[in-house]
Amino acid sequence: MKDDRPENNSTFERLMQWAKAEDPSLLQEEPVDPDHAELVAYLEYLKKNESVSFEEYRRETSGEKSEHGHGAEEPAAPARKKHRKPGTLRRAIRVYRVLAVLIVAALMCALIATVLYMPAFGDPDSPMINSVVDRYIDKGVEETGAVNLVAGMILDYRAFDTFGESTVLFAAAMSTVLLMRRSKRACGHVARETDFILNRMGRIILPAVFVYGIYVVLNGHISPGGGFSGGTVLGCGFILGALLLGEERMNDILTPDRLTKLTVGCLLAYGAMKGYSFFTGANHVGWEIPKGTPGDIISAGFILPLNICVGIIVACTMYTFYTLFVQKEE
Amino acid sequence: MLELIVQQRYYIGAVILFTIGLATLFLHRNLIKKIIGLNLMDTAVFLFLASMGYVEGGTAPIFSFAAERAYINPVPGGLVLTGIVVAVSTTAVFLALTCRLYEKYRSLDLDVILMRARERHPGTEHAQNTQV
Amino acid sequence: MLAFNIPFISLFLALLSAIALPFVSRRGWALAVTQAVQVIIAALSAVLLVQLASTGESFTFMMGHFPAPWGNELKAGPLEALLALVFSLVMFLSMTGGAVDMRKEIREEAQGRYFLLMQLLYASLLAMVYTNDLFTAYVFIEISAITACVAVAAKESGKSIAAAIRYLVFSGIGSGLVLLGISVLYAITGNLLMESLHESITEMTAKGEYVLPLTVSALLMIVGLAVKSAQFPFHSWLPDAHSNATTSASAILSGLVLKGYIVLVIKLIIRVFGGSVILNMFIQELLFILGLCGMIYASLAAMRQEDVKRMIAYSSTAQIAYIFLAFGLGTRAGVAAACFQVIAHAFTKPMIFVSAGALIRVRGGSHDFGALRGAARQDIIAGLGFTVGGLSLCGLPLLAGFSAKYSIATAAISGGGWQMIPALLGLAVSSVLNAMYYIPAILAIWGRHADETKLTVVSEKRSEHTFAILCFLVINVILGVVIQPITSLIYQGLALL
Repeated sequence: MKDDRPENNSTFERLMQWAKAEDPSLLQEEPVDPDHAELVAYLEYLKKNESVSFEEYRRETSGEKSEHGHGAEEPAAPARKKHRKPGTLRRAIRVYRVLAVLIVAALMCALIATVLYMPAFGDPDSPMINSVVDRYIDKGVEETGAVNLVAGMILDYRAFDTFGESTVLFAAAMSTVLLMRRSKRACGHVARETDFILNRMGRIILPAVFVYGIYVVLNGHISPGGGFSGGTVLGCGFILGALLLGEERMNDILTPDRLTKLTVGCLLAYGAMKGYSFFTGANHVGWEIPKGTPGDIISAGFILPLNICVGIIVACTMYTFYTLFVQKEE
Repeated sequence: MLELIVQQRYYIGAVILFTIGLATLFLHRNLIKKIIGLNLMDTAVFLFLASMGYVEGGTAPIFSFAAERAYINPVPGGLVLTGIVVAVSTTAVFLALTCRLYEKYRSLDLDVILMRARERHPGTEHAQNTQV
Repeated sequence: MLAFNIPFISLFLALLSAIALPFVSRRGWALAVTQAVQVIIAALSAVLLVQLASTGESFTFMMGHFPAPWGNELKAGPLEALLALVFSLVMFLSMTGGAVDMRKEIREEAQGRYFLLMQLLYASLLAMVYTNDLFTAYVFIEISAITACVAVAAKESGKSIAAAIRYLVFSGIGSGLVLLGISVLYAITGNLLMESLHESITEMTAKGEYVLPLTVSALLMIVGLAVKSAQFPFHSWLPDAHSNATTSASAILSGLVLKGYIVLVIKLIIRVFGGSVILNMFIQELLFILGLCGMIYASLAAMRQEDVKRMIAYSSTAQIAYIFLAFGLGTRAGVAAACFQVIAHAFTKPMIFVSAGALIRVRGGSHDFGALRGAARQDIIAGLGFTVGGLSLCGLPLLAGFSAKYSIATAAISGGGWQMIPALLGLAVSSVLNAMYYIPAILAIWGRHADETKLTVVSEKRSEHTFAILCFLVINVILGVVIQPITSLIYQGLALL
C-alpha cells in the first residue's frame, strides 16, 4: 500500500502503462493534483485488494496519514498544476452533495404536503372513481369477456400501453444482448458442479414450477395472474432448469438465437393481433372476435392468445437476462 | 392534522421512500447503490399507485357472478404492472452497462470510472497515433 | 380514408419493422429495411400533412374498439403530421450520414441490434408525437430512454459506456419524476387522457380545489422532462453522452430524442394545462429564467471546449435552452416559436454532427480542433455542412437558425411583459457567444494546415454522408427563406392540438 507515497510521476506512469496508453507525451502534459494522485493511489490499491469503495479507502488512508477527516488534501503536491487548483474537485463535490441533500429534503417536504391535500386514502367518492372506472367494472366482463378486470383493461381497453410495455422488455433484452454477448470463445466452458441439494430439490420442484407458470398464463383472464406474472414464473423455471442441467445442455435446447426468434415471433403475433383489432375498431369495420362465455378457458377473444404471447416473451427475456449475466460471471 | 397523517400514511410512506431513492441516486457513487436507488424510487411510485387504487371495502377486481361486490379501482393495478416491467427493463440495462464498466475499469465507483475514462484517452479512441 | 389511418400505420410500421429486424439475416439489408420504412413513413406523413393543412382539422384514432376515455387513442393534427415528417426525414438522413462511422465504430455482430434499437427509438418518438394519453407517453418515454442510452453505449469504448451510464442515471431520475407527476395527477383527476385531464383541471382551478397537488404534479412532469431533454441545470450528462456516441447516434440524440420530450412538454402546456392558472403562477417564470441562464452558460462552456463534438454538444444545450425560454414567454406565440426552434434545430444539429463526423474521419479519428485544422479542404461538402450549420446557429439570415431566433424575438416583443427585454438581450448575447465559438471553429477547419505533407489522408469512396449533408443544406435554406408558411402551419397546428 502507498503510505510513503512515492513520487507521483512514477505512480502515474505505471497507471498509464497499465491503461495501455503508450504515448509518452501524455505523461508530461497531464496535470497532477492531490485528488488525482489519491485516486491513482486508490487504483493501485484496488489492483491488489479486490474491491473497496473509494470512501472506505479514503477513510483508511486518511486515518494513517493525517489527524482529521480530509487529511488526504494536505500531502505535498508537486508544483505542476495547470488546469485545476488542488482540491477544487473535492470542493465541488462537497457543494454538490450539500445541494443534493437540500434539494431532496425540499422535495420531500413538498411531496408530503402534496399528499396531505390529496383525496383521502380509500375514499370511495374520490375523483378517481369516475365514469372510466365504472365502465371498466360494470361493463368490463360484457365488453372484453375477461372475468379478471385488470386483464381486460390492460389487454383490451388499454392494449396499446401493454404493447408498448412488451416492447420495452424486448428493447431491454436486445440492449443487454448488444452489450453483453461475447463471441463464441467466451461461452461454453463454464462447467459448474451441480449442488446436491439443489439437484434433488430442483428436480422435484421444476415440474411444479412449469405447471404453475403455464396455469397462471392460461388462466390470466379468469383468475389473478396473466402473461406477465406467469411468464416470470416460467422464466424462473428456465433458470432453475439451467442450474440443474448446466448451461451447456440448456443452451442446446434454447440457443440464444432461438430465444430471440421466439421473442420476436411472439411480439409480432401480438402486434398482428392488436393491429387487427386497432384497425378494425377505429375504422368501425366490426369484425370482432367472439367473446365466448365469460369464465370459460376459451373465452375473452384475443386475451388468451395475447396472454400466451406475453408469457413467452417475458419468460424468454428473463432467461436471456440470466444467461447473459451468468456468462459474464464466469 | 395527526388524523390526516395517519389517514394518508401510505402516500406519505411512498413519497418518503421516493425521496430516499432519489437521494441514493444522487449521493452514492457506487453504481450498484445507484441501481438500488433507482429501484427504490420506482417501487415507491408503485406503492403510491397501488395504495391509490384502494377503495374502502373493495376487493380484488376479479368479477364474481355470485354476489354484488365492491371492487377496488383496476386502473392503478394496470399502471403498476406496466411500471414494474419498465423498471425491470431499466435495471437490466443498467446492470449490463455496469458489468461492462467493471470489466473495463475494475471499479464500481462512478467517479473513479469517469476519471479513468478521461485519463485513458485524452483525445479519442484513435487519437493516439494519428495526432498530427 | 387513407389519411385517417396514417398515424396508426406509421406507428405500427415503425414498431413492427423494428421488432422483425432479427429475422433479416443479411446485415446489409437491415439498414436498408429501416431506411425504407423511414422513407415510407415520411411520405405518408407528408400526405397527412397536406390533407390536414388544407382541411384545417384534426382527428382522433381509436386504438381498439373502445372510444377515448376507456381505450387508448392517437390524435393527429397538422402539427403532429409536420413533426412526424421532420422526425422521419432527420432520422433517415442521420442514419445515412452516419453509416460509414457506424460500420467502423460498432462491432459487426452488434450492428443489426443497433439498427433495431434505432428503429425502436424512432417508433417511440412517433408514438410520443401522436399519443393522446399521458401513460402511453410514459411507456414510450421509457423505450426511448433505454434505446437512446444503449445507442450511446453501442460504440463500446470505456468513455461511451461511462457516458451512457450517466445518461441512464439522469434518465431514471427524469422518468421517476414524470411517473410520480402522472400518478399525482391521476389521483386528483382520475384521468389519463389529455382532453379529459384538461376538462378536470379547468373545473378544479375554477373551484380552487387541489391547487397544491396540481402545481406539484405539473412541476414534477415538466422538471422530469426537462431533465431528460437536458435543460440547463440538469444538462451535465449531455456533453459526455453526445460527444462519445457514434455519429448517427449523436445526430439522432441531439436532433430528435431531446425534441421528443419537448413535444410532450408542448402537449402538457397546451393540451393538458392549456389556459389554466397553474402554469401562470411561477412555472413559466422558472422556465424562462432557466432558459435564459442555460443559453448563456452553455455557450460559455462551449467556448472552452477543445473537442469539436463536445463543443457541438454544449451548443445543443444552449439551443434547448432557447426552447425553454420560448415556453417561458407564456404566450401562444412563444410556444409557436419553440416549435419552430424544435424543427430548425432538428435539421441543423444533425447536419453539424454528420459533417463533423466526416471531418473527424478525414483526420483519422481525432476530435481536437488542432488536428482538424484544414480538414474541410479535404472534404468540401462536409466543411460546407459544418459552416452552414454553425452560421445557422449563430443566426445568419436566410438560414434555419435565424428564422427560429426571429420567431422567438417576435414572440417576445408581441408578448410584452417583463420578459421582453431580458429575452431580447439574452438572444443577442447568446448569438454573439455562438458566433464566438462557431466562427473560430469554421476558420480552423478551412484554414491551412501547417504541414500538409504529414497529414494522414484517409481516402474513402462512399459518399453517403455527402448526400445527407446536401439534403440537410437544402432543407436548412428552405427553412430560412420560407418563414411565413411554416409559422402559419405551426399556429394552425397549435390551435388544433
